[in-house]
Amino acid sequence: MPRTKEIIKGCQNGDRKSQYELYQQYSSGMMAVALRYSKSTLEAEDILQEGFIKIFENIKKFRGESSIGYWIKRIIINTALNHQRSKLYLYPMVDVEDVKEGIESLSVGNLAVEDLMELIQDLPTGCQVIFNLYAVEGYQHKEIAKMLDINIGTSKSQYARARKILMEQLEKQSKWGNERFQ
Amino acid sequence: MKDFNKDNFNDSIRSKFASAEVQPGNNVWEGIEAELLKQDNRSMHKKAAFYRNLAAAVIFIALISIYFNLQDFTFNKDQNSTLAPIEIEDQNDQTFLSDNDVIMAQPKAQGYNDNVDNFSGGTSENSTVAFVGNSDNEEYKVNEIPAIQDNQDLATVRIVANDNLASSLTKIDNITPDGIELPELNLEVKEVSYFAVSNLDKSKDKSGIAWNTNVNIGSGNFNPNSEITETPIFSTVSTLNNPGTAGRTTGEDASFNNNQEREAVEDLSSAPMQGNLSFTFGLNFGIILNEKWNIKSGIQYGAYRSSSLSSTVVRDRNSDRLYPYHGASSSTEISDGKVVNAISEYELYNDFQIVTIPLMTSYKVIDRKFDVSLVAGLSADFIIRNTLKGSSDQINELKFDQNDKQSYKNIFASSIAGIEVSYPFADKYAISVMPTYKRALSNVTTENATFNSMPAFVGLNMSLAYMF
Repeated sequence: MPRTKEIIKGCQNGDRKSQYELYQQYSSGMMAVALRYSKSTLEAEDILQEGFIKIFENIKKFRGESSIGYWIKRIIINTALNHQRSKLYLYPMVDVEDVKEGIESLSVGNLAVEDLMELIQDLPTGCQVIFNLYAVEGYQHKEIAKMLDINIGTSKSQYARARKILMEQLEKQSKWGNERFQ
Repeated sequence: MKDFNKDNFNDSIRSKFASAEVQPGNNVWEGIEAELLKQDNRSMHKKAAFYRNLAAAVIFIALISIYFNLQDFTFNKDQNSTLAPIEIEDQNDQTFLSDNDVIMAQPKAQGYNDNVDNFSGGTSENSTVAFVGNSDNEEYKVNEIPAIQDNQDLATVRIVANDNLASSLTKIDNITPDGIELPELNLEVKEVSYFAVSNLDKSKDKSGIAWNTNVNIGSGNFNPNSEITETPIFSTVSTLNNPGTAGRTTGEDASFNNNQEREAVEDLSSAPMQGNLSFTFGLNFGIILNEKWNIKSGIQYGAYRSSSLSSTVVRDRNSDRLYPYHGASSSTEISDGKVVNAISEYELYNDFQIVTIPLMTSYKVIDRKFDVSLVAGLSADFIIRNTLKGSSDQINELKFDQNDKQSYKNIFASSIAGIEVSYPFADKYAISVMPTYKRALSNVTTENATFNSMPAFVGLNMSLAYMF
């Protein structure tokens, strides 16, 4: 921890070495976050780059009230949301009425992270963003609605839709796996 | 709607991603670093601009204060100047005000007060008439007093006080009839603006040939690519700052797209390089032909910088070292063993060291406290060094000296025009400020360059001259 404090202090003084150390420490984790909010590796790298530039620009404002990891993640998520916002504007999210709840939850325990990531990336942009914010980051629908300037109902229905698509995909994969090993 | 968050699905997803890590590509950090460098440069430019403005303000204030201070201590040697009588209220606290508000002590003369009392006919016990003017040497020469009327023909009283003031006043006393009543002088002492036309003329004895010398410093904006006149395309040279050339090997592909090349060079002509702050200093010798004309020459050294954003580097295949790539100066450096690579955008600096030998003539159009002269001339400019460097530590410097084959000619001619405002002081010295515009008379690039250019330099020179 003292080392992290030193690195933060170095970054606050504009020391390039410290900035690189901070990047090394958090870039892999943040790349995984960026990937969840993007459609491709290239887009994720753009988000990561833009996010880290913002981090270094604003690190002087970091007061240590939360952990540096959490603070960095918040910035990366905000950057990702800004990236997706234009797409959300082009394809406005609407309430999804007919989401059936009949599909039972399937386990993702056996699924590799990369595969799960791909499934999330394949979701429609609106669903993808809301699913990430709700299911992974743990935000409430009220908070998500405020963040994305949408109705709470829209957030809920988009999440339900995302979950439905995921379940269907998992089910397909499960069937395909079973057939393959029979 | 079912609250999905309460089931295990979200928990399992969350736990899956909790420790997920994916290694990003190396280009991400390069991009971040390039952007940070750009920001550093921007803040440096802001700081430089601040200090430049501060320096300009300090110089301006210093010039103004020098002007006012020197003006106060300069007295006219013109013996024919008119004297204006002023009334001094308190004889015991006698001071004079000059036209520049300089308080001068009243000349001490024996019997002065007694004589003055007589002179005024005793009508005003506490007032007297004093004479203020500019005197020659250390004596106060009183030449003429405005008329003191006596209703009759006593129009003017001339006083000559070459020996001393007391004796002059005695003479006045002798010729003034008893009982004459002198009119009360109601002249007010007023402050005179510093900017009023002064009668403190400068000597006009500079008609003969004289010599002077001066040292000067200057700063300005130099852009070697500001005046691109042509964009010739060569099949053996590569593009400039063109990201589309990633990984293209130069020198081995004669069939690459010339349109792309042309577009890149055309991009260049739409301001690829920006002039940065440059500095010059030098020593000049001049001949003052007459009051109006002056010819001077000398030697100047200048460090000029221009910059641009580049996204291409030259990579040495053997050493794997990176060098900045700029079509104007590095195209000849590229061989089969070197390739042009596209990277994240970085700032490219093109530094020139140029020695200049000017020959200038000036014509004085205003000859006042501040002289204003129009200056025009020619110069021979020698590029003694041309350096290309990137803002990143990973990019190595490229230096070209006079013996290296490079894109710029080692010598070129320029024309100079300017306006010189100078302030002579202490007889032999003059300080001056001269905004100048200098432009090459012909193309300064060699046939190796991808374009022709006639660079311009806009600068501000300050100089201190000594007149022999």
